[in-house]
Amino acid sequence: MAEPSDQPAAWYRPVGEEVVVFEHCYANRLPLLLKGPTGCGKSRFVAAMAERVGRSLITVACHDDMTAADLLGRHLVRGGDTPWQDGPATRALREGAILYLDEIAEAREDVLVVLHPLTDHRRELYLDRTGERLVAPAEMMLVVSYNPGYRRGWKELKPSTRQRFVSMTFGYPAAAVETEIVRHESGVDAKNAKRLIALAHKIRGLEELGLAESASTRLLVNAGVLIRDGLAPRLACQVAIVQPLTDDTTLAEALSDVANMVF
Amino acid sequence: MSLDERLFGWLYRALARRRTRPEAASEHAVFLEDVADRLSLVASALGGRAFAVRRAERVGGVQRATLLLPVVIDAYPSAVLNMAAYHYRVAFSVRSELLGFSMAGLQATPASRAQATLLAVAATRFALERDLPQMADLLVALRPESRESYTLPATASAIDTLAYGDPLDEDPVEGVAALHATPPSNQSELVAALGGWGPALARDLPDLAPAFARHALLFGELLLPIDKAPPTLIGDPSQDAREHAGGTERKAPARDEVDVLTLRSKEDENPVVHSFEKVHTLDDYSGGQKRMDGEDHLEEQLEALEDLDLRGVIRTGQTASSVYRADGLFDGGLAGGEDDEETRRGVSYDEWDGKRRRYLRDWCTLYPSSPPCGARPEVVSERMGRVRREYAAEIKRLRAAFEAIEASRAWRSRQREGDALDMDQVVMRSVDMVQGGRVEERVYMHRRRHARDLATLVLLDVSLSSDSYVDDHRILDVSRDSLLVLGEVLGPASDEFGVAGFYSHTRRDCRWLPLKTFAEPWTMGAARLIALQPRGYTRIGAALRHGIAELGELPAKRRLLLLVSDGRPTDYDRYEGRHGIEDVRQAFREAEAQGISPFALTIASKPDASFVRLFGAGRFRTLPTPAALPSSLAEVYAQLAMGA
Ligand SMILES: Nc1ncnc2c1ncn2[C@@H]1O[C@H](COP(=O)(O)OP(=O)(O)O)[C@@H](O)[C@H]1O
Ligand SMILES: [Mg+2]
Repeated sequence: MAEPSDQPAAWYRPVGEEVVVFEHCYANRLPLLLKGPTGCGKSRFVAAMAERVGRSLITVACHDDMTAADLLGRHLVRGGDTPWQDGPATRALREGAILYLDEIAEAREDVLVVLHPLTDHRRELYLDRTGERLVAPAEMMLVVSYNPGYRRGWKELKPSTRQRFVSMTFGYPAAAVETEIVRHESGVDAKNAKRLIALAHKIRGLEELGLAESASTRLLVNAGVLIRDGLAPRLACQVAIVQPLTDDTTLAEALSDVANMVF
Repeated sequence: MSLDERLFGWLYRALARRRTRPEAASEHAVFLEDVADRLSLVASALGGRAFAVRRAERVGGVQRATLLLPVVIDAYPSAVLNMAAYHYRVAFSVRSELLGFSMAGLQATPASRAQATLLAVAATRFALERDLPQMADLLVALRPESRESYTLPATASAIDTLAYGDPLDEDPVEGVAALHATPPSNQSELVAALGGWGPALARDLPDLAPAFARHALLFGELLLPIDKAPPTLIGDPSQDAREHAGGTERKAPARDEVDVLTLRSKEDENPVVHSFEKVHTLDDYSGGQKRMDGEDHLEEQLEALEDLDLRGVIRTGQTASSVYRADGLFDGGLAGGEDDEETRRGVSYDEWDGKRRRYLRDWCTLYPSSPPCGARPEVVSERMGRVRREYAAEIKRLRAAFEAIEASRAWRSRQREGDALDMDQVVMRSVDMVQGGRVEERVYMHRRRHARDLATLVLLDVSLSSDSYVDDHRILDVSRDSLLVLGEVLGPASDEFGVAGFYSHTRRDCRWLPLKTFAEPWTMGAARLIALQPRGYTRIGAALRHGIAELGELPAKRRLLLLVSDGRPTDYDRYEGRHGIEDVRQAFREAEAQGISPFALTIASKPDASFVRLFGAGRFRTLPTPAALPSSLAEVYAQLAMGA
């Protein structure tokens, strides 16, 4: 559930004003919401910012079955003993870490309400199992991410939750910047990196694929890694871009056609 | 059913029997109908906007958002190469369209068309290969081989130079090399270049048009843009006179353009629109027009027209006159309207104008009818008996599936008694016991009987297109059966379930038939469903919006809007083509924005790429045969009811 991401030196290429905004939010203890399609650098941004302010990062991938106890903590049964174990949110407060809730819309609203006191002036968590009240230290910050294009069923972020955050939208970076990112991340040569970006732009213009399903930077990086490692570029695009994007045969054929035209 | 509807139904069925696939093709042939959807997606990706694919009557080319492609490519010794030729042609035409090349401002003779196309090739190729360097290699592989068939070597050399960038050492036609070096890069330069070079080319290359024909497979030819066509009258015999004068082309009518010419023609006195209900479901609909509704704008109709396959709109001689006769009949048939029972207040709904990205406020008026009469009891029981027999296995299987869903339904935790232990509570209980606090007794989980938080509204397309047959099944019969099957499966659990039919006669008269309201028992709905007759046209957007409004009033937490139709938005007044598609898509978005889950079940013999555009990925299911509908409807319902 909670995975401490302590990858050293997260490289992040700023795309817009996001770093400045983050710094102001951090200094003023405001929680931050990052909107944007999957694979456009949200998680990487948070990792890089945590490093920048010198705090550890605690990431929680939200999901349907997540309970309040999964966030706050629970008692365990150990022999005759019942020790308390902190959940990731509690730990973030104790350690003064950056708490990152990924895909927050996946979590149920009744779970998210336990975080509400953390997102307003109180900046505290109440652990009803232990009766403990924890106040967040100044270094602690809450960041959440949300993919507006990706709505499975009825999931959408309620205004009561979203209005608690300063919000920024992440999109796909401009071609030159994205080329730089893909090159850096995959080590692929300049010519193929440019082609990957050209392919991505053609796919992203296709309204048959929603924004949510479109070719993300992450897919391009994966394709780039395979190409750099010697896989034939067309095959790399097929397995790293086309197939992950769609199960529809016609659409997959058409996307392969386009990839074959570009490569 | 009014006269025009019946007449059209007849016309439609007569036409539906025709098939389009050319015979006498090699085993390597690639047929457009098999790859049209794929090519239209490729074109849209390359062009950055939607392109539709239609079959060309002759050579074809591109007209704004429509690619006209050969019905089959069989020129190469392998299917791979034949497919590659389609790819090249698509990429080339899209690029040509982005550059804006066309026959606008040029004389539409075969000779000048061949000249213009050839001159535009160099600039188009240059732009294409800069974007997609691979295309240069592809062209080398696809280039027609032998030059023997050219009567004049000068022509061969000019084509080699201009089309393939393969200049000879010396230039047998003076200036061709220069044209290749600095080709016209936009339409006005093209017109200017032909002004300067046209006479010289015509003199030196008299056989250009027939010689270029072999290469036109790859490049298509330039066409008149849709709104630049000169006026011609429908069925005007003088139209033959403007057919091309050159050799073999004389017999082939240039319908790629001609049908468009027609539309323009009657704009002023008597605007005509081209489309009937049902037209879309036909691969080869040929012919038809009707009066359009009052004040709607021809400009916008042209847009819709452009997306349609209009080959039939103009036929000279016999065919045309029969189409004309039909037109006359419509005038009479429509005037009276049909049963004018509904004088009740209509509800206004917006419609989405996708081209301008804005709403047409209060554009549609929808009249909710009172519930129609049900069939007589003996008819109902006869029909229900048949459905139960015919779908016995299906119903049994689906009932079991629904029971499984019920079983897996949300468990209620922290109960005093129940079917299973609530482990969280058990742990807490032992914690409490160790710590000596109040001991929690509610340590069981209990299964909920029903999830009463789901409301579903099924929208049934009862328009005339549902009167057509796919695989020997009448679409309306099958969709009716599927609802009856679903009713059988759900049984008494069906109380949060509504069914409504819809049809329309222009935006001013959209109808809503409540077949089963949420409060009514299934038996009422079944009787009405059984009595249902097809009628009218298909304005899906207004119906969806009314459905959204109805569902919006229900307290249920989760709401489903299920559309059962052939996925063809159609109405008299330009509700088709791109406009119709975008309106439906927008209505789907509106539903989602209101927390309603829209889903469409469409019957189509093969997957149609336009459905993705219409409903959005993952928001529809295509059924290859109507026979698959009953079980699919129940399955989709089960999935949606369980999911999320
Ligand atoms: N601005 C960026 N700087 C550096 N890497 C980036 C950037 N944007 C995207 N990436 C790359 O894309 C991958 C996916 O990004 P990620 O942050 O996981 O996406 P998200 O969290 O938005 O789904 C990263 O692992 C990284 O390789
Ligand atoms: Mg992420």
